[in-house]
Amino acid sequence: MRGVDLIEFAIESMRKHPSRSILSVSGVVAGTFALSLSIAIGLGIERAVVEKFRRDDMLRKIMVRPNFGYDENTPADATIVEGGMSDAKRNRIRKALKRNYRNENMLKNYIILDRQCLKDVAKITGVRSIYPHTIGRFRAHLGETEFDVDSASVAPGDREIKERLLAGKAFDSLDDPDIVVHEFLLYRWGFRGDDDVKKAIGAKVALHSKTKRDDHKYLFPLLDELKRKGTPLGAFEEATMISLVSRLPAMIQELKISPAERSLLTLMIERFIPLVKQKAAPDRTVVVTIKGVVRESDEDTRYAWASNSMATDADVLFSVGKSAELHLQHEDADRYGFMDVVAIADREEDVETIEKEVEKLGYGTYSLVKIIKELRTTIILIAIGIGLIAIGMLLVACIGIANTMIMSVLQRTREIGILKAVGARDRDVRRLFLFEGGTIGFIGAAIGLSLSLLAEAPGNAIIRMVTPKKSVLPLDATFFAYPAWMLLGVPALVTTIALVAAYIPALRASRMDPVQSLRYE
Amino acid sequence: MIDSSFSGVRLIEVEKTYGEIDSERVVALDRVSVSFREGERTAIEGKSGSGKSTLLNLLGGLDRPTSGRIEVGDRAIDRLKPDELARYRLEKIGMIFQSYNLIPSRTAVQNVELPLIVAGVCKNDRRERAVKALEKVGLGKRLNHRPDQLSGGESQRVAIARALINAPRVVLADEPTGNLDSATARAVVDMLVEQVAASRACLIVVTHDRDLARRSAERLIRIEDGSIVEDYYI
Repeated sequence: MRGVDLIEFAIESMRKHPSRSILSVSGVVAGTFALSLSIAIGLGIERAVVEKFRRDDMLRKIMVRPNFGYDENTPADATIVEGGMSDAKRNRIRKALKRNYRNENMLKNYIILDRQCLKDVAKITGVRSIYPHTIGRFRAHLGETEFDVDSASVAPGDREIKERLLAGKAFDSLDDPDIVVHEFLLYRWGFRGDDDVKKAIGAKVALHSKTKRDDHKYLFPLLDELKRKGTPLGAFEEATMISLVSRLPAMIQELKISPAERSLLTLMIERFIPLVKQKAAPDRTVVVTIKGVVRESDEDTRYAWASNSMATDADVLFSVGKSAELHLQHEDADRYGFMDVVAIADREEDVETIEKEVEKLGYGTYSLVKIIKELRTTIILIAIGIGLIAIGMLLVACIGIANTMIMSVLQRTREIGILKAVGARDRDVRRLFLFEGGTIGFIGAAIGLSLSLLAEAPGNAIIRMVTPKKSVLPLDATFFAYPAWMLLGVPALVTTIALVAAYIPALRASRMDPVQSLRYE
Repeated sequence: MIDSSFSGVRLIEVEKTYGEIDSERVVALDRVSVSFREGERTAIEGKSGSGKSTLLNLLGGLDRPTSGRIEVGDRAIDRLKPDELARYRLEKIGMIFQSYNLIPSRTAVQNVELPLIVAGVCKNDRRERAVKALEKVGLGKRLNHRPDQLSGGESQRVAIARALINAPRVVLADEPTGNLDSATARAVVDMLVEQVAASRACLIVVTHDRDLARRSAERLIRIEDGSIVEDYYI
């Protein structure tokens, strides 16, 4: 018998018993819908995230971090708990001792990201380029007005900066000598109107590099307070103040205060003295040109996942090369190193190998490859969970199909006898029922898959509605993926399951005795 | 494959027994030996349970003998594999039943097409042949009627058209007029004889109606308790 005739028989049989067929198909539809939706959403979310990161070239980035020297192997004698106490408390104290030891010894093995790090990482095979991220503080002069400003570095092609660009251009290269400024800084400088920001493009700004001593506003509020009130200390007075502060520990000893108060005060003063006593660095001023203006970042996207958070609120943005150049002029540059270093791999596939090589050098690493892997594992686990439910639904549907086929075989017993009497082979009869089961499976799969495809638009809308805007998910993406293998594979799988369900009834039909079948009423 | 030089059917010492009832085996056919020549029309008569339908089922390849040999041409069909036996039924046998055995959901023409569907004939060819077969039995205007829209006589004529559609060498009719009134029965038998004669097939009609037997056959075989008790030419 030809396949087309077998399908015709199958459809004819289904039409003869519409209610039964609709119920059987419905079960398959539900199972297929759940299965295809779980696969589509799993693949879709993964694809959306990967594409988002790939778009920003983030999948080739390796963040090299300083090694803070955490030593997880606490020596046994460092965690000895003395005295009598309950086991629960002993455990808590041991945990605290371990934490205490780790914090105390944290910086013993501290490895900073210095110039040597840049050279070593750059030598690793597969590293295309490398640049550090730095931040800084400057006194910015435009005309007669000056402000303290924070700076950050930005790599060329940074999408977030491009999106915030109000006027001018973002950085073209790693070593772009110009700066991009925040609209707030221009506002403070008097560029108030919407279009005024364009007038700032091309303006020259003098940036006076500030030393640690200049940062005393964070450390020594008195000096800053005086400055704010318009009575800044002169050079002599400041030197006197430093001298005074240096002698404070000795003076504290003479105060009529309790030992505990003395200890506390000494502790506080000792923290400030080294900072205040630092030698002032020679003034360095650099004149740069404003090439672009960025707006205040949106509240929804501020510090969004994987963004360059240092650049979000910075008043002045440098290219990474220029920022590093200024950073290295600082007298503390080699002491503190860079904040972090970004290595760009030639290929995404090389990232993990490069990370291992960087870690061998003693640095910490961080890349989105790990995140993607974790994300993929999570998605796969969720998809497997939903998929198992879907498979369960399909199995229930298969029991329905098997039941339908058993009923069909019984009701068509005489027809089986007739077909055998006119020459049908056992295998023809078997195929007849397999085709019927397969047809139920295929129709159910086609409808289920179609419904899943139709669910894409409302599904995307719902996901966008419930997803926070700072989420790792790109909200402009589609969260459902229907690759060709799935469009073909799901119906094939479901049809196969239906065929398996129909096999026993079909076998039973094929083995029917024709004489008995013809007598069946 | 059945031989192409068909020259009749021969049963040699054929026995058919069924499972035990009250510790005794039921003998449906008891060492029957008989031959049917090509183009010969034979009526087999006997009471219910005499074994005539069993004989017909064995000849039609629907059942296998317990012992003995059934030859069609020079080929023993009792030893054919299931698929070969099915092919034998498809190519050499046309069967007509008392209850017509039409598929209720299919139209007359679709029922006649059944053997051609099994044979894998394409739709256009089989439709053309089925229409012609129905026209030959006078049902050219009832092509698209379902069995429940046809009279008993018409249904049996559809069954005859189906039995003859593959030009079988042996036509087996089991009580073909059992459900028909006498006038219709005569018409159907005449038509059957006419159609079979035209194809020079061997016709074997099982009946308990002696008039019908004489009307349809040139040879009469009477079976009693699984044995042939009479075999003569009319």
